[in-house]
Amino acid sequence: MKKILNNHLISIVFVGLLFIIIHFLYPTETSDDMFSDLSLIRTYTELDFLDLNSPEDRQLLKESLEIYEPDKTSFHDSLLAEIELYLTNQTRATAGSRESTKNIDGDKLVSILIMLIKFVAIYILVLLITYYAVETFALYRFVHDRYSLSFFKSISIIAHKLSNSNNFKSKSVYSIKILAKTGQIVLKALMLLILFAPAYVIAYSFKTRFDTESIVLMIILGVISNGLLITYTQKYYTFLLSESRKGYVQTAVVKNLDSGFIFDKEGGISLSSVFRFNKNFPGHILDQIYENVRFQYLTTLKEQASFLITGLIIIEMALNIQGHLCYELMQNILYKNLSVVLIILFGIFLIVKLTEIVIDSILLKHQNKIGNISSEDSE
Amino acid sequence: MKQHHQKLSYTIAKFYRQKDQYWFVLWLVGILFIWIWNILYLNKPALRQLESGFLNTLFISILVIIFSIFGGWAITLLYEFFNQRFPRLQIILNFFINLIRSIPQIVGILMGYVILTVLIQKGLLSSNWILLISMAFIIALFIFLEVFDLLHERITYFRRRDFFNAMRVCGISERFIINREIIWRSSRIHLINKLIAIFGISIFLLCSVDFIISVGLSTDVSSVDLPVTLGSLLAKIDSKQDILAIGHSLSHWGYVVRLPFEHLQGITVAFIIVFTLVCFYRMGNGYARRHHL
Repeated sequence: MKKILNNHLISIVFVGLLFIIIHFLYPTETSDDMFSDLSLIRTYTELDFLDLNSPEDRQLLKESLEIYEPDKTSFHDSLLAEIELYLTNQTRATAGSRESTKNIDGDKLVSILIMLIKFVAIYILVLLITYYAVETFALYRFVHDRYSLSFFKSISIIAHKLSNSNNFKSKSVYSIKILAKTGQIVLKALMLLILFAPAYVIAYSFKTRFDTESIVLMIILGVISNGLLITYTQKYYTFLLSESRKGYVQTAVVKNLDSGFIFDKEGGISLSSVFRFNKNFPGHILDQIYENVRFQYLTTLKEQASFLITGLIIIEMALNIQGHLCYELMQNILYKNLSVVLIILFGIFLIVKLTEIVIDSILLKHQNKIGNISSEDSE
Repeated sequence: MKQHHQKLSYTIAKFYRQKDQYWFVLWLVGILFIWIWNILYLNKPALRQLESGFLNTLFISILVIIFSIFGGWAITLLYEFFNQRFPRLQIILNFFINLIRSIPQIVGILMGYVILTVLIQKGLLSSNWILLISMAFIIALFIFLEVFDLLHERITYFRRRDFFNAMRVCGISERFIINREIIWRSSRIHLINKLIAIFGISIFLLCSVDFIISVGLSTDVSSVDLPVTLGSLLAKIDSKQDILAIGHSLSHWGYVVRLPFEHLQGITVAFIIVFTLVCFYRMGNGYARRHHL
């Protein structure tokens, strides 16, 4: 454990030092240095016929610049952003408040820390929910797939029965069954599209109906969108499938352990135990399969956690959720506020590293437990 | 007639069972259908943008695959070389590999885009082709480790088998065994399966990062300077309004009929992204099942 912990700590120290070097290589600029061409900004803001505080006039200026310099769109965009920032600073200076400088003070640090804590809380909650959902859906599918027929097979059986039936009543029953099956598959396809849709597509689709800046919606999006749930459920399911093919499963069946893969039947599995938080299947072969897979999945959990962080960052940035860590990161990239960007990036890096440390320690604990069991057995 | 019908249903059933081919054909047919629909109902300038956005996205994702193969393969060989000759250098390489792994992909790509924009603003990058290649390179930098992980796992697995030492005893070089016997002959199917997954991930990341920079950083990392992709197209105000119309149609059922005619641009872009992700995911699963991976 010490070695693993050292490796992670060295990475944290390395990245921390790297960021400090970058911070000193590109020092904090004064408020005048924030602007690439201050004289040009002053020229435009001092024009009598333009009030650049108004968005319409800013758009007018942009369009005029586009006509004269059509190949410098990016420069015009940057110039207008700087004009906006310059005017904000001017207003704040007049009102006696502080300018939007690039200096970091205690207040700013505290506000970043609060945002970081909020991000971590959401991340942990979504990770726990997705972990539970991945396990539950994979186990459900694993049992269900053992006795259910595929769509094509069931449709062909019903179609065959339909073609062989003579009376109107059975014909209509089979036709309704085909329709129901088709409806089921259409619904499944729609669900698949939603589960794979990037968070911003879902959020914009429902923007008129829900408050897209709420934390609850963010958690829901984190769980259902970006393909996270379905991808990792499939991975868990694959682990279950490959584990069930191992030799010890056959041995356990021979030794009379319950091996029926059907819900709520004698010798089968109770449906409620699949949905329980603390899952166990006493007396059933699935119990051992599940225990082993849970251990194997721990390495994949690191991958899932990293993908989840990517998903949450996308949600916060794409939906412009103000007051959240990644929105702040984006705003500071926009205003070239390097020191804040580095602090936020370091915070995110720490979250990933802490997750890795926790998962590695659980993994090691499991390995030690297995090692102890096997050494006790050999004794 | 009955025999012909049976033969046809057998062919369809067989094709349906080959899930990877089935989903690939479904994807092609779906894209073709959407394209024809757009030719019929979308205005010409928007259609041109949509076409170039789709082709650019496809091109970048294919480049990501190519970069990931070569990057992953090269790092694997370097890792194995250090493992044999310079174990200390292998520790350092491992440290940097883990470091890249700990950077959330979207953050890494976003920072890469910021650097790309600085280069554009300084006039160092201007050609559209170079920009497309650079975008693909940045994405591949945070994805190629998946190829490395796979190849490393395969080599470690085969090293424990008897044939590895047997070949070594026969005087065959380790480089030859790794490249030809392990990677090319015994891991090609695994590699293809991984590349299908990488294609999906790169589409997702590319569209997400382009959407983010177009929505949030449009003044600095300007979407105008970067080649248009499905992500940046989706971030356009017209497309966003089209997507918002889906929400509107939930309470006004009659409006659903108008969606594929009046809100075509945004709905097409969103649908292509999601449909491609679903199809390639199913394709990967189908391919893995067909080859018993």
